[in-house]
Amino acid sequence: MSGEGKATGFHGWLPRSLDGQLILFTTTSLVVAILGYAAFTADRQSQMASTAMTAQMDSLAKNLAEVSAGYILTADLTGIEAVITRTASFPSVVSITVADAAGRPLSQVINQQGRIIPQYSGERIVPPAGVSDLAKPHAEARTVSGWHLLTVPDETDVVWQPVTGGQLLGWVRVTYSLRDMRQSALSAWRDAMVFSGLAIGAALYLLVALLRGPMRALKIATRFARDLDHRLGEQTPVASSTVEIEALGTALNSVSARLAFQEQGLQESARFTQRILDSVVDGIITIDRRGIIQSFNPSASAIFGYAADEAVGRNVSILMPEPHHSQHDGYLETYMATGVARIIGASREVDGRRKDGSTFAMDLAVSLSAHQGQPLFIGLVRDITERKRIETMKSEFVSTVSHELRTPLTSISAALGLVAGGAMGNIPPEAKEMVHIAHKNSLRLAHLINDLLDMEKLAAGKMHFDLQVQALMPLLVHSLEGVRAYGDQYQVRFEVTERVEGVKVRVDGSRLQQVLNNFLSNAAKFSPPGGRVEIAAVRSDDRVRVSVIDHGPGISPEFRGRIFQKFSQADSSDTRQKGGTGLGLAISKELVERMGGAVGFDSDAGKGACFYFDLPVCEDAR
Amino acid sequence: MLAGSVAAQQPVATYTFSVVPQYSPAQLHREWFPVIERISRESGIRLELKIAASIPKFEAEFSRGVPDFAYMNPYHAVMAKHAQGYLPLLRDNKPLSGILLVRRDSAYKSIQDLNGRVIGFPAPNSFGASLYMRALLTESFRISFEPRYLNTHSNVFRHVAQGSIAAGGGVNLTFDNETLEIREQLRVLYQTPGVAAHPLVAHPRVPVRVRDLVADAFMALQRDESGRELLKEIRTPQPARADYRRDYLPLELLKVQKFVVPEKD
Repeated sequence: MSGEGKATGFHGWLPRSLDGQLILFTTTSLVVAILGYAAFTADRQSQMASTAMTAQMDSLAKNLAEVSAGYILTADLTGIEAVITRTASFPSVVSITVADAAGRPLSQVINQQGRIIPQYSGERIVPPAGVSDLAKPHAEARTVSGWHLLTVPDETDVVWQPVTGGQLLGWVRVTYSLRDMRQSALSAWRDAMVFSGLAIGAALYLLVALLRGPMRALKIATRFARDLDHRLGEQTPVASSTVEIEALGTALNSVSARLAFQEQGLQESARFTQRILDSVVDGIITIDRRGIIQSFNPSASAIFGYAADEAVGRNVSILMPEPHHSQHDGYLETYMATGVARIIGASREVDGRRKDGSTFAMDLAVSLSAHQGQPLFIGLVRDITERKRIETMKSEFVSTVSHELRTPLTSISAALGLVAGGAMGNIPPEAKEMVHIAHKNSLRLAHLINDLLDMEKLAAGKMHFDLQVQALMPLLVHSLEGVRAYGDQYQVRFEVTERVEGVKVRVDGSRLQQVLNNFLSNAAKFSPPGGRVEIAAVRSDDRVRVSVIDHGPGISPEFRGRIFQKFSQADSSDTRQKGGTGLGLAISKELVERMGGAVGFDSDAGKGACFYFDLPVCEDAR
Repeated sequence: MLAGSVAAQQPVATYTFSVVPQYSPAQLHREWFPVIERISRESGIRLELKIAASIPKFEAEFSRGVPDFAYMNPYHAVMAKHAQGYLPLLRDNKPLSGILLVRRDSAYKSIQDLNGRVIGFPAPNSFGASLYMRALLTESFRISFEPRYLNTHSNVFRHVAQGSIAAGGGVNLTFDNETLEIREQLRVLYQTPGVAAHPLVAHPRVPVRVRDLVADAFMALQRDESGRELLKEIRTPQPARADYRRDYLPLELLKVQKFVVPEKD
């Protein structure tokens, strides 16, 4: 983190643009490299100049000493003067003195801006002490050096050279100026700096010229990429000057083309989906978590009478009659807060409200989805007014037919009963058998019609219940009495194994007996001959369970799911084998539930079955 | 000389021209060569410049009659006349004076102050600077001194300036020719009476016609600027006809003979 902080600090100094950074880095490198090299070169040139200068002055002093020896011996001051006058015109020489061994000047000249002036009033000069090697020039502490030259403006150096001829004859002293050397060092530095400046300038110019094209192309590409969302499919001009920039331009163009193609595909796909939604028969309505309608397809418009733009944005409760109209927001809030759903995830019949205020029956299936991280409820609506009307007509028809059938059938059955019972006198044995069969089947038919009528009454809500608080066990015993003869018919014995004395329930006695008869006759029917059917009543807290247990073939796993549905039997062959309408268990379930109870069963295939119903115990009446 | 005699019959006769080495041979050659060349060209007489290595050598040579023409100091003219009969042709119009120089800041105010001191001279027999001067110092001023011969006038001036000698003898012409720097250092303590300047002499074997042609050409140098420049260089700005009897015979009367130092060449 601290490293990142440093990096931020460092980057704070940098230009933000790439070309700025490139130019900065390159310039810095160039300046360091070129100035470094220039300084090195200039310093070396200065060193070389100073080396050459000292060598030249040493050699000059030495030559003078050689030449002067003869003149000193012959006391030829003119000769010395002539020689040193010529020598003094050498560049940088300031003065030359030839002295005798005692340091008395014999001849002396000074170089005054190129004019050589002899001096005749020279003071005695003091040669350096401790010159051991008389053959070598002796320089007084030399100040000549590359860098030093730049800082010391007008300094001179002195070279001493002994004049010898078997003994010390005199001295040559050459004083020379460092100014020329300094000038040449300075000009070396100046030239180096000028060259550096030019080189840096040229490099910068080249860099800027080189970068201008690619940077402009990069900016164009950036602008193109930024605006690509509303310029899909367009192409940017590709600059071919740089491979990378060209690749970028080509890639952008390729992306643009591909995105345009994909966009087209998406739009196609959306149109396709929209067409499906528009042409689907069912109404499809989506709402958000607050119940606001998000979409409303044409079928929904047809069903409710609202145009899509009328419905979208309004609360979905406009599509509901009271009390849901007022309470719908509460349903949603409850669902969002607790997850307890009233209708989500299932399909059920509800009432809808059209724009004109009329209500109608509809099938509503609500599923939950999510859109952009928010819950989205999708309602699938189907107008079932017509289906309901047909169902009502069918029920009424069945009811009517059953009533119309039952009256004559009752007469037929009663007449056959009388004939079969011999009330009409003896009939031939052949006819007696036929009459018996006709009577039995007329009873079955009557039973079937009674079941159908019961079913219709239950479905239409017309079944009347006379609920009374009464003891359970007597009802049980009474039922057992009723089916004993039926049991005998199948050679089955009924046995009460557990009892709950004194427990009262609030039921319609005849309807509860109808349930028990059903359970018991089923058990007898499916028990093997000589078998036993057990009846147990057990209390558990505030409920009581009555179980009817047989030892028949049990219920196959594939049949268990629809055992309480109408017209269902385990095997279609059972109907004729075992008799029955297949309505008994469905009616029993409806009856128990209307009386506040519940039905159920346990079964292991091959080991019999246990059908039971639970009823709430009526404590107050105890 | 032999060349000269043979040259009399030859169309391309060459005459030698010697100059007294009062200065360095190089300086003399530089000053005299253009003069000799022009005179040769204008006179039609071929001259060859010869510069002796030293004054004694020069004296020895003219004593043997080697040069056809010679430029020499006044007393040399006397010596040459006696030895070989050399005749003076020309001399500068300005008389020659010997001068005695001391350092400007020295304590010597009179010649007597120099008694017992070292006095420098160019050469023993240089007339104005040495011979005549020594004769006067000894005979007229009666001082004794240690002479030191330093070959050239310039060297004498420099030794005086440098302080290694108390005084030095020279002549007005050479002193005037010196640089300002050296002249500023020196002071003239004494000047000898004027005598005829350095003569150009000719050996008697040189035909009169040749002598005249050369003398005329020399005289003619005064007529133009470049010629005058050349004359100035050789310290003879105003050449005039010389006459031994008038100009140099008086020197014989000065009795400087005993001050002549015979030198080996």
